[in-house]
Amino acid sequence: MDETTLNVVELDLNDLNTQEINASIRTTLRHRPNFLLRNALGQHNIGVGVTNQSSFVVQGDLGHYAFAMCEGIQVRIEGDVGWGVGENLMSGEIFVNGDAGSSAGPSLRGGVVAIAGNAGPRAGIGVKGGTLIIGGDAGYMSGFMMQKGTIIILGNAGPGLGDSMYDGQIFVAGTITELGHDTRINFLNESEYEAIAHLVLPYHMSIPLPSTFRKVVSAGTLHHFDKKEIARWKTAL
Amino acid sequence: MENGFISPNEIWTPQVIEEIQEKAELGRYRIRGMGRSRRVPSFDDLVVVPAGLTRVPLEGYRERCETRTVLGTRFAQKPIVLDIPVTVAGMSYGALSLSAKKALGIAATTVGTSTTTGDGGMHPDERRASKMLVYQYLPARYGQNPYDMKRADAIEIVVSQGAKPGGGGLLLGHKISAEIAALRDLPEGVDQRSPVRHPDWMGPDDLAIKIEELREITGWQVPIYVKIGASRVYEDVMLAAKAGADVVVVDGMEGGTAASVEIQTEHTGIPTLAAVVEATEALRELGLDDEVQLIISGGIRSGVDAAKALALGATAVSIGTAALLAMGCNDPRYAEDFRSMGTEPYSCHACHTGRCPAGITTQDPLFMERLDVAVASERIANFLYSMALEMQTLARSCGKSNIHHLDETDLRSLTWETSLITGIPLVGQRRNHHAAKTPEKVSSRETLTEGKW
Repeated sequence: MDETTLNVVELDLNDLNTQEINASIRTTLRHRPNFLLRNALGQHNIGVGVTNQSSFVVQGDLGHYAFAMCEGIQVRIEGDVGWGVGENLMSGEIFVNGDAGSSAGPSLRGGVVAIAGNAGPRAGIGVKGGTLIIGGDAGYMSGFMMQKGTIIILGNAGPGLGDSMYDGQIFVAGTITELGHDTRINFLNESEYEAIAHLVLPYHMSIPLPSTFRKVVSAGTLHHFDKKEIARWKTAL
Repeated sequence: MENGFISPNEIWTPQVIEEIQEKAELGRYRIRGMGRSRRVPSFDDLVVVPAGLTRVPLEGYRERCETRTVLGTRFAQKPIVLDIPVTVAGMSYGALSLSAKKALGIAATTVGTSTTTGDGGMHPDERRASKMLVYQYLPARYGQNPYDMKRADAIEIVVSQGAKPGGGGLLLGHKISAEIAALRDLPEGVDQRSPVRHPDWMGPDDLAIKIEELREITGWQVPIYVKIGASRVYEDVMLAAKAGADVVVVDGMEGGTAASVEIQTEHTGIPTLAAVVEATEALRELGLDDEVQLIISGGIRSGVDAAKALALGATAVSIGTAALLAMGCNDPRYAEDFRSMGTEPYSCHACHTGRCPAGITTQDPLFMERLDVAVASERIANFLYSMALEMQTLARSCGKSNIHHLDETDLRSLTWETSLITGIPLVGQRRNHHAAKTPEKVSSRETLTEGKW
């Protein structure tokens, strides 16, 4: 066992409740910031509110709000996650080597949340910065009311993509079932494709050819109360 | 000239005609600030019945009458301890100027109560000004970060607000300055229409998990409030309490706003008077009225309103519009500016325009300069003190040495309607007084179904 391994704090989540798990992380964090969380069984609210530079490897599935409201963390989850993984992440990285439930990366503000598999509805809802990567498909209303930042969907996107987004950009390699209100499609340029590749490659996801990608941005027609909205509203009636 | 064609019309009033013509011009609903304007059943329809021979009053100016109030005793390790049961409600930096936010914080600190952030995050100056600051956790999550959350003295999950339950926040582009845009991660000058639902939870089962998340982030130290705009109050309060809230805040339809769709403000929600009754009943039904504190807000104007709310079961009240009026909203000194906006002092509700002449609901540097933080904070503090004194005065007159000892037996209804809503006996109906139960058992639903009134 090398020195790095010796410094890793191992917690068996099967033996502990949520409060005990997080308390163990908080009390150990400053001196020993590297964690191996074994036997995760879908517990909610694990690793929330961590703002110290730290790393976590999670073996198993986590429930809702895994590593929510964190900054400066490096997380690898070998399993699936529930709703709201990486909520409001400020900086750092969360990689889910599995699928994510609803609302992956809500209100993301910085860093990267990467899902190797599929993400449920409302992925990237209200994103305000940073990058959300989805290796598979993303569900209904993903990118809803996005404000800034980047969402990359390597699979297909469900209906309502980017609905009412203020700003930011959504790159989709697969099929877009239906665009959300107030969005439009732009084509990628070479530097944008290179930027996507740079973001995706560390997670060993296969990147489709440049020609398959489309870029979804705000059309800006809902930015101001205006009679132009009437046309928009008619489509919602 | 004959004026036979000029006669009042009860249906097509000048206001109705004006509204139709305005909408015909705009092509959209009307938007305005402040809050509901039409009359609904209110605390004015109740009177306090002081002591006489049946009870002994306390000396009005001399004897002690406790106002200390504790919020968040259920699960939090550090409950909020207030000197008076009046808090300052959440109002955003963005809707309000930074000077106004600072003034609210200083005033709340001066009188020993809490103030609350809003839909724009926590500004460092607001944190510095406020000894006790409640951090709102809203659907839009503007400016939200873990550091501010951990710096807060309580977290308030906002489900909805009384001025527009079922509607999201609204901040028009005039007020989205470069600084506000940066704080909220929005394009400068955009008409911000906030989401109505939280992005990552939907119903009461998820709320329980969400509350646990916030407790874990804050180490179970601070109270978690849940704020609900008054609609299905009885059921909502039950669900919030069952989900694990320490404190439930119920905001009646008289609640204020810096901008709302007018029809939502005027035509949706439940009056504060009815809301407090339903909320109290829900907590009693669950047997949690001693564990979960109830804050009532929405059009609270004075210590009289506050005392009546406490008598009906609230632990504390929260004020928003009244605090802004205290600091100088609608100040007649700016009559000319009000008129240039097409309004008058004492009638202005144009908070949404960002042209507030008093420097309160604006981001315009020219107007903001007008608000002197020291003067404004002193005025708010004075008003909060006056509310506490009014509450004490009423409590003492009822023979109560603690304002939290006020209860339903200290009230009578002036109208049949209010009696039906609150279960408080109608004045002059002595026969019904005998049917009045102890406060622990009073239930408007029960009394109605038993047909005792």
